[in-house]
Amino acid sequence: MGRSLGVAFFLAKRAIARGNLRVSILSISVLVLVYLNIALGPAMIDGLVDLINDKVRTTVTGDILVQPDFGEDFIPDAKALASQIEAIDGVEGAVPLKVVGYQIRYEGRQFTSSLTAADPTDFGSVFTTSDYMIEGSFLEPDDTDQIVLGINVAGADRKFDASWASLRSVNAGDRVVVVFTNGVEKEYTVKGVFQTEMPYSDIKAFITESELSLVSPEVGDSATHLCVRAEKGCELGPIMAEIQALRDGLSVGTWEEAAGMIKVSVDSVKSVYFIIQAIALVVAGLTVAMVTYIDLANRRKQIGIQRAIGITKQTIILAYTFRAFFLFAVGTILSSLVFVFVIVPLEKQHPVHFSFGYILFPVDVLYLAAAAVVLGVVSLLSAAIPAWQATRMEVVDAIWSS
Amino acid sequence: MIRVTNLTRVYRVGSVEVHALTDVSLSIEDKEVACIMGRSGSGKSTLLRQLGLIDRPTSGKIMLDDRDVTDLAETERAKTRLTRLGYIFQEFALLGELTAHENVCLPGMMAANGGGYAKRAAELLAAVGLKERMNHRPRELSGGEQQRVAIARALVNNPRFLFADEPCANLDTVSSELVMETLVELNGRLGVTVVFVSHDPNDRQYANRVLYLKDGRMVPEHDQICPPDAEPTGSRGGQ
Repeated sequence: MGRSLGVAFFLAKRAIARGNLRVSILSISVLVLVYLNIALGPAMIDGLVDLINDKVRTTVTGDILVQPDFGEDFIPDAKALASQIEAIDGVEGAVPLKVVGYQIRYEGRQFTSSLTAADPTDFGSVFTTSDYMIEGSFLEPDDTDQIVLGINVAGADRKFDASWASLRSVNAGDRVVVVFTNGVEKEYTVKGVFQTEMPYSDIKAFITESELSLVSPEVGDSATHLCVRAEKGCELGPIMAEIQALRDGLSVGTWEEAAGMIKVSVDSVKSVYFIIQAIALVVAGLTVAMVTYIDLANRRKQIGIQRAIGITKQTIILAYTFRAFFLFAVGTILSSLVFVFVIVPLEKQHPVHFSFGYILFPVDVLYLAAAAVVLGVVSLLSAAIPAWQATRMEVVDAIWSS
Repeated sequence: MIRVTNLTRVYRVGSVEVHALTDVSLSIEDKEVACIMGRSGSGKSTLLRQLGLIDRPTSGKIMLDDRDVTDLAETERAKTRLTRLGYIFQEFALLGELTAHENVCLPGMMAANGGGYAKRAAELLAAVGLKERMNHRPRELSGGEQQRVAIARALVNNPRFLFADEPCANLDTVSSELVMETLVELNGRLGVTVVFVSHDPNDRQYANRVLYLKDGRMVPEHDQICPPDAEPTGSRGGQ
């Protein structure tokens, strides 16, 4: 076995150093492209999923959502509860939200949905919606008679997919009429328009808590739900348990449970992509196998000669496997370097824009390593199987039928 | 000693059976230089491939030094080819990615009973007059030089038997004489049994035994007074 290994290594070394350079470059190029394809696809999906999850957490649900138990409409003493929650270790902020039904009207158009009232300071401790203002500014705690609208409500003279549902041409500074479900009708100045690029968020409209107490004083200190932001990397389970223990009548869930449809969509995308990746790997394997097979077909006579002078089949197969391993290693290292040191930094400078915003490619070292292992196995099999087949031929056929 | 009994090799081409060898029996003594002659298509190369364990006969028996090698498993055949046989091909058959020295070393490296194969390879190359061309690759050598590298390669593991399939077919007259003289000299010096195939009547002078094949059958010695393949002297070329 030792001799076989030695001779196989010697043959592989010479084949790499002095063999057909074009075939080696072609094989390495195929491996680089295949590996980049394997690395890039999931990076995009992961980047997109991270982006969606982040947008959901920072503009729609927070990390933890506290709702009244089934059958209850409001959480009473919401401010006190928010203070208690903020005192829990690992909690960065908590905001009671009051969601009421409303209809908004502007120049003959109207739009019916729900309006959220919150204390802008508390809101800012949980959500980053104010970072996405495209016109005007977000609310201040004492603002009254002012409203902030998502792009899917205001329209703001921009063309986008949901423009059919919006008021189309409301901009910051415009006056709109709001009719509440309790019958109150009031004119508001649009203080700002935001665009988070997350449809769940961009359909929202905000007024301050103080404003709601003027038009709907019956709501008082009750909240329809509370959103909680946890410190980065903090385990949500223990925090949720502590919130649950604060008082009866609360239903506490993670943002993933709250944004169930989004999670289902993301999981579906991941499943579809998993299938695409599996197909990509098979195609990669076949491509590598094809290049190796063509190379081997041209070397059939050489294999016959090697066998005729007494080189064992095992040695010949090992030699081709070593060569394939070398090509795989060069291809994978090269493409990893290109991915980590060229594509990722370049993408960071010029991020790709998707419908939910700009995505960044995360570098998942474990995934890259796993992909390399899979591609390595595929490469080795792609060399070993055709080599094994070539050595199965009778020596005389291998030499004289080539 | 080589002993062949009733050797038959039938190839199947589609539905047609081609009898390349039929009931061939022969024996070649140790240290002989035997020449197998015959017309193109007479089965000379087929016979040599059976003796060199490169092809398998359809029936019959091949004994090398009283050992039946006819039905050896492939691993054993490879081992026998490596350690006891040397085979020289008509078209040189060197590995293009290796230098002359590396080509000669390769079977030695594979057999490697201890080191020393590199030194022996260098000595053999010197013996065939290629001391200065050891580090050249096949494409940088002439046909005659390549064939002498092939001879050195065939001898690196001290084989008992050396088989050469028209070793001069692709060479000019001067190179041919050099190659044949090298074979005979090595036979005398190393005591290796040499069996070579040729269709050039001139090559009979290098052999102390000539065997004739016609249509895949051995021609009895009493019928060999007039050689069945009498091509003009000096004419060489592949079958």
